[in-house]
Amino acid sequence: MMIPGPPPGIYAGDGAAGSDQPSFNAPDLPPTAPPGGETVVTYADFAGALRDALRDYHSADLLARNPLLHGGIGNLGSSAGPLDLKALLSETVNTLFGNPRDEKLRRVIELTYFQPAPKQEAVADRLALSFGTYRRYLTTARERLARWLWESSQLAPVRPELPAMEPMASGDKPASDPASPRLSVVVLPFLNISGDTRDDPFVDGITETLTTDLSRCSGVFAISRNTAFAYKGKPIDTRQIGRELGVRYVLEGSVQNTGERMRFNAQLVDAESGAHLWADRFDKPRADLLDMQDEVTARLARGIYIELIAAESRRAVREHPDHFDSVDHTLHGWAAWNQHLSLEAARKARDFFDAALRLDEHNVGALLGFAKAHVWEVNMYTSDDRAGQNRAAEVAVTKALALAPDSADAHLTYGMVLFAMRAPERALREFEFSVTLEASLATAHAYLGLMKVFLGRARETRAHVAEAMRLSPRDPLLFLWHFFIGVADIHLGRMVRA
Amino acid sequence: MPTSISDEWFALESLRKSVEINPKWGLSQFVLAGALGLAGLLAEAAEVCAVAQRLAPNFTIAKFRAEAVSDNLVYRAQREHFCEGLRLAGAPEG
Repeated sequence: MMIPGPPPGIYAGDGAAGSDQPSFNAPDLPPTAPPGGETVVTYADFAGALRDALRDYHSADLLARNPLLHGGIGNLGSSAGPLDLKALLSETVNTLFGNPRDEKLRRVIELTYFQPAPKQEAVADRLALSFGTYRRYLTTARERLARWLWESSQLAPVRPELPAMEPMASGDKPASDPASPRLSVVVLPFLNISGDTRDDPFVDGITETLTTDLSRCSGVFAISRNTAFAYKGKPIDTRQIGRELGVRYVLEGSVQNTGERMRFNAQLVDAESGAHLWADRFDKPRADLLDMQDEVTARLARGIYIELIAAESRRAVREHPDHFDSVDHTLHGWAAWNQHLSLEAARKARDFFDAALRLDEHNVGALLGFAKAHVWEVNMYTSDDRAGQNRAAEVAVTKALALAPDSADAHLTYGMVLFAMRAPERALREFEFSVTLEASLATAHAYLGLMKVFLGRARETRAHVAEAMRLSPRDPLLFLWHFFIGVADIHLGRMVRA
Repeated sequence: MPTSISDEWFALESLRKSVEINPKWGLSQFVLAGALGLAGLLAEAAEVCAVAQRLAPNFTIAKFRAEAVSDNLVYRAQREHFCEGLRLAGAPEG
């Protein structure tokens, strides 16, 4: 894919000369043809160039030759220089890994590239990590950074306009652009209802972390926080926002400080119809704010993701019931999976994933669903062809891992396949790795706990499963987690209260 | 609604909760039946076991025993004991 001269980034600072559109960050820059030489073309090239940029962080001369400066990423104008690239890298690292649970990833990048020690071994020492673990963190951090920047410069459907501008005449074009990504959502800045400005950083942090959490969900396109913050304090017209940003869903929320407690409210709105699809409202004691942020956004992201899948699978039935594509089938598979899971529902989901893969064998979401559905049957002792189902699942998950090596869900699924193959120790390691990739992945915590039963450590199960419940208290798999704890208690002989 | 678990909960409470949230899943019903069997609540165990057999018709004690997840001795011993509960509940031997 060729990247055209002006970067297609979602930020307004794209160098359109004479544009009277306000820019969010970058100064207005005159349009210049990309300087001759390399142009970034594929993700692999992009990731390679990013790796070089990190390595050359302290050399302006080397950075100046980096193809990223000529391909346009993030909010860099086409005539931006090495200093802009440096600023973008450090700002992105701080934002992307801003959550305390990603602290290690941030530190690994900082100490390796930004304030480098002479040797990587020394960085590992400083972080009290084994060299192998350090390398794993480094690869993960770099990969997430690359993907984030790549997506923010590639996937954005349209350039946003500031809400303060002339409102678009309604009826100009269909409310929901059929080209907008299916699971596209903007998290509008959460409102600080109590009005105490000391809470502003916390409230903004909720918006930012929720955006990050959602953008990690497979298939979700979340508008960047910079763009979303342009709507801060503006009256909300969800349909207009949907049109302007090219998203199908809008998430609004608020935080109210009632003294002892914080009250959270969030609702998901269909940007096309304005219909309210989902809402969550809950209180948290005002204890450690940072811990709370993590818990609040994990819970909201999971609930929103489940509703986005359900809403989009309903839309597919409504709009083109006769010609489902691979993504439609996948969404239907997950929607079935998110119902109360039964043997029948698992088989139905499997058929959807199977249909999705027949249309696109590289669909990672469908590969993972297909593998999960197969081993589900094995793991509930209802398979008539254990070896065959395990084999099918293993092939699918291996392929998914090759396509998305840093996907926490792929490692989670691989763990489930290893569990079905009766390799609980290896499964445990996959679940642990999955959690280092994405600490808020509740299901991985729960399975991690279950594996300990099989390793004779049932006493440890409860704490892991409780973490899953903390992160996602209304999860469709909640029934399974209670079951895991029950199983652990049976193994511990804790049958009934004495 | 308390969503997280209480330390006061024992196996029967967690399993009952699981079945209450999602009554359609066969394995939790079987395991609840087995736990009720071990707890000596045989009438309820038999009832739950009948529901379980409809939801997961292929489940048998033989299959359950043959498909142990690991060779860990602690786990194996605890599991054998549990098979007694399944028998008491009336799960099919296979």
